Amino acid sequence: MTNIITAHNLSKSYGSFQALKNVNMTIQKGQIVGIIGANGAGKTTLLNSILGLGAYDGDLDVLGFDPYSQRDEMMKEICFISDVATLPKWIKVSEAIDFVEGVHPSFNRQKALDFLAGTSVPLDKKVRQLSKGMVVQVHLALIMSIDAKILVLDEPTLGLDIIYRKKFYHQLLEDFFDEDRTILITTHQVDEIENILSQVVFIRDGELVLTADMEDISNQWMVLNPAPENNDAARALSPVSEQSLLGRTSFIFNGRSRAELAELGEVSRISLSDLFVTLMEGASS
Amino acid sequence: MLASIVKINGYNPFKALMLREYWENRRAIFMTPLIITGLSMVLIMISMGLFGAAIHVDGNSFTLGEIIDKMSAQDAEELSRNINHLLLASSVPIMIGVWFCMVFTALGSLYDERKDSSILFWKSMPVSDFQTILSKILTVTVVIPVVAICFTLIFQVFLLIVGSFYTIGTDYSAWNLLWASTNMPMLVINEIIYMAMFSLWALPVFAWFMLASVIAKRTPLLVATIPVALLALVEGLFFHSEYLIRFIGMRLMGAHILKNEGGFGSSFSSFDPSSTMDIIRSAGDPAFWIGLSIAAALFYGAILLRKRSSL
Repeated sequence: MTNIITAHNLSKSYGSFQALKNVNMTIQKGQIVGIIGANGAGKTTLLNSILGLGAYDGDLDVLGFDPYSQRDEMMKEICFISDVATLPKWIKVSEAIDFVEGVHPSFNRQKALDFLAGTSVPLDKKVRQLSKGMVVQVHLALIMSIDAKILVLDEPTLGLDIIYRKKFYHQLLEDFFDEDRTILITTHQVDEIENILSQVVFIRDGELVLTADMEDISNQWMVLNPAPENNDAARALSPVSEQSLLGRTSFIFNGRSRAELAELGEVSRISLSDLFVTLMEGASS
Repeated sequence: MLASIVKINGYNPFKALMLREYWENRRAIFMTPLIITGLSMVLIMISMGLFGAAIHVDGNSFTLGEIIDKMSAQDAEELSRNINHLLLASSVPIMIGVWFCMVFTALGSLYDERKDSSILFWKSMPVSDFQTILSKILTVTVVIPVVAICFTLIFQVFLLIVGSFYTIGTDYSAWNLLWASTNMPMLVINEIIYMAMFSLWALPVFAWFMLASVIAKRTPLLVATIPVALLALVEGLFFHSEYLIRFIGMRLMGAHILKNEGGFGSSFSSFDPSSTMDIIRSAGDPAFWIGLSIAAALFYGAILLRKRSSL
């Protein structure tokens, strides 16, 4: 596998506030990587550094480019949607297609038109006249018709209703993703993306807390719902956290074998949101 | 032909950027001169048709009939000079409107994209900040004036046609009186030179406006004017000079194009440009090149700041 993003001691400060603290990570080709963290944890700062939108300290290599100084060349290989509302209000859909065709060497106009033909988006209308969902469809049509190696999505579905969100991720997988491409994605709706991710990065206060493949996570982390009489036995296995809800207690374990836990009760895989909460709480206590 | 110019066919980043500017600033580039030209035409037709009416030239009023009488009494050379001057002066309303368009397009150029956060969309495309800013400079200082000149041309031809109608039923020949006396190509060339030299002299001021527009958190106009006003005040108080205000005022008001030092500001009524040769010669003035150097430095600053301002 090839590393397409390598960060070494990546740091970024805004005045005295350190948004990123010596981040080290590698991301390989063909992954869908979720970057998960609380508000202000440094997700957007990390993505902006990768996109060359800001200067940083440390080493960062994206597809062999230095993102900040070689941004113009690098952007031929990277697409990003930072927020759905970034399409200018005054542009017509057809003009937006023209523009991207003009500035992007690997844009496929027909693909974008085909994509939009499957929607109710009118090409001669301005973005300001479209509904929020339509604007996302336009932006997505533009981005997915670019033959890019990396796609960065920073809260791409912010402000959209559940139907559009589902559709968005569906189209992303169906029409864009293949093993030559890599997708980086941040969102607060962790549960909606957890089954499309292949890798996950947890970030807290500018530091990476955990970087793991989804597969490793489901092998490592487990939720046990023991029969009530087994609660003490479960506690003896030193769970990472314990939660009681409506008289049922559940425990989260890290690195225990499934067989060992199954003796005490029902074992299930951990959801990303539970893992997220566990990691964040575990760190603060 | 025009359709092929304004159509994107495949990868052509700079063309796409220029078209983008046109789409965004359609009002400043096209609608404003169109409306001013249209309104001027309507006003002329109304005043001639309804009132038979008086035209004001240098504070005196004439009916068109009187003007034609006067004109036909002049010898050919004087007639030609007067007609060409009249036609040139007729472009003043369009040029004043376009001047405002240039100023406000420059002030909004790098501010609007941050305000509506579309800068993140533009930055998601493989276009350098240098190219983007270059496309904006060219829009303000070349595209807007060139389109305006096309409209002045239309308006001038319209005036000649209207004048020709007026000679119907009189002894005067429209051809001799108007068309033969008009040197249209020369007029257009002169206007292009005026506009080009105006833009070049004013370039540092427009560059400053664009820098203000990349810095401003809100209201670029204030960011552009308040520091200048303060500096000028300090200069006046401590050095008893007004170099800064003159630097900006003369350049922005076209003082190097007009005979009058105050530029447009002091001579709205009598449009009196220096001779074309004098205007071209003004490029030999070191101040001209100092201005361009300042412009280059300010643009460089704007490029650096846009590179940093991702939001």
